[in-house]
Amino acid sequence: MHEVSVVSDMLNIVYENAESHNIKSINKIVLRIGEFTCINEGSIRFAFECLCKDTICENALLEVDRATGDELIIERIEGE
Amino acid sequence: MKNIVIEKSILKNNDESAARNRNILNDKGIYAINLIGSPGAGKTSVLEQIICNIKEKSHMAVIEGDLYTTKDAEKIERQGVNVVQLNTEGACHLDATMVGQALENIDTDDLDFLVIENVGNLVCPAEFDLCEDSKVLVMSVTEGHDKPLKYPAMFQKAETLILNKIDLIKYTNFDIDEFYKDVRSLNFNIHIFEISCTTGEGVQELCNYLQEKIARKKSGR
Repeated sequence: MHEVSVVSDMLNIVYENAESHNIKSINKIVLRIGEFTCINEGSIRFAFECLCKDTICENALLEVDRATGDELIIERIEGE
Repeated sequence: MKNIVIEKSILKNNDESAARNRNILNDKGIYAINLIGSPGAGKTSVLEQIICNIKEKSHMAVIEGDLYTTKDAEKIERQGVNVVQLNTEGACHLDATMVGQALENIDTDDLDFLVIENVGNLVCPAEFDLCEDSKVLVMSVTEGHDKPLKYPAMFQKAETLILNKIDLIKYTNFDIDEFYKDVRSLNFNIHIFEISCTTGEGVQELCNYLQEKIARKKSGR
């Protein structure tokens, strides 16, 4: 249920990093999500689709690495 | 193509707000709990019992999380305790920034004990640190003994578990041995209190435990 706020916080981190590295378009975002978080991957993808419209992340691929703990990490971004 | 390694918590903004709140509370030795649990578990009833027992001994304040109403805050206010209402307007959890705003409206100079009653939800509040010293989870026997394994994150992150409505257990098929076994398998060190807000059973033990925590925080131990 709270995936929208999680994705919104994630996008803010992406924008900050894109700006400081002069990236104009994001190709890929890699997350690491532990199985003991209460995060549903489907909801994350739906929220991402909605929130990245008309932004530099519009065409980005969202990759989710699963982990075993309660990690909720943004690993890296790719862009140009 | 640039590849930027970030490796940061996605909730870092929340965690930073929580750290700011925590600094305020730690400076003044205020013990804070985040009261969590599903709707109807009895969070507010437990809180009313805690207030009755503790308000004469310690200065306390309450931050009340609720989707839309001020019903719970009004109940608390009638007990003569300083209370700030946070309405999340549909959001399923409190976050540390909201709690920071509420703290601005509380006189923390003379405070010993802060209770943050979260929105009724057995999933999302587990993820968001608010500034608390301890997460106190309220569940009731009428919810069924299968809940720990179905909602593991809450039971793993709580330091204290209050099993409420224990007076009703004889009318249910709640298997208390199974319940203890499942809870311990998720969180071996959790403190469990069986209480009833109707009969008062177990309330004194719970309040003694909290009072000791409050005193320990105040004295900086």
